[in-house]
Amino acid sequence: MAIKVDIDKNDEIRLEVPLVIKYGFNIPDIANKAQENIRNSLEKMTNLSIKYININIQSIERG
Amino acid sequence: MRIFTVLGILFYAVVLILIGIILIIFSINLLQPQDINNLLAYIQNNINSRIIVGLSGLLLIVVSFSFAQLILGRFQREKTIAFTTSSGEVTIALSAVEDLIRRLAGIIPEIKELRPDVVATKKGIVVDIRVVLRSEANIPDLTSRLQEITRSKIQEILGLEEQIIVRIHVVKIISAQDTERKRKEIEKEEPTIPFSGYGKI
Repeated sequence: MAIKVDIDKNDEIRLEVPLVIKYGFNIPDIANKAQENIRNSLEKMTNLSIKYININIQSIERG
Repeated sequence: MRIFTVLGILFYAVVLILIGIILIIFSINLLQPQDINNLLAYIQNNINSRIIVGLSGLLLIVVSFSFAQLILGRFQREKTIAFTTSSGEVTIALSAVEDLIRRLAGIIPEIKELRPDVVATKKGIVVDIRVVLRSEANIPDLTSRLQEITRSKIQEILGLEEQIIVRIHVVKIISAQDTERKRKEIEKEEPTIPFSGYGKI
């Protein structure tokens, strides 16, 4: 499981983030939170604009 | 779809059996090279036979292509459920949904084992569950409860409004005595390790 990062000619970032979620949590909520946190942190730290943050839920594990 | 697969498999089985029979006949000397030569010469000389052979060849190619497409299409089937948010796309592996359903076995004590298979179709999410039950279980009650729990859990965790079809197949019913017997058999089969107690205080 690795995070993929692509930067295009316009310095826009596209991220592919694989996640394993704990059993019992709502996937859309978790995915949204993860996307927001990643976007906020990256924009704050790099000044690059983020085009997409794609989340791939790979499995659900016992919490 | 399934019927085409079965027909395709039967077709290939028949073709391979025929080839096998011809090879066996040839190996036990019932078929001479001269016979094959005569047959080929006859086909070559007769225009109708040539047309039939040509059409059969064409049919074989078409059937092979369709069958390959069907099989490959099945392998390349969508393996994820996807939805988009403001930041991008979220994909959920169907195996993750299967993990989720597997956890349900722990909720219902009457279920000994549970093997889910999740498919995303245009109609919605189709869940096939093969279950092994303990004998004390009331099957209609249990299966409807399992269907309801599965449906609500998927909807709750995935937060999707898509239709969820849950099909249950009871593959085995085991009694408590069976489990006890199996456990004893396993215990009996376990080899004793020589000097395993040696050195123990």
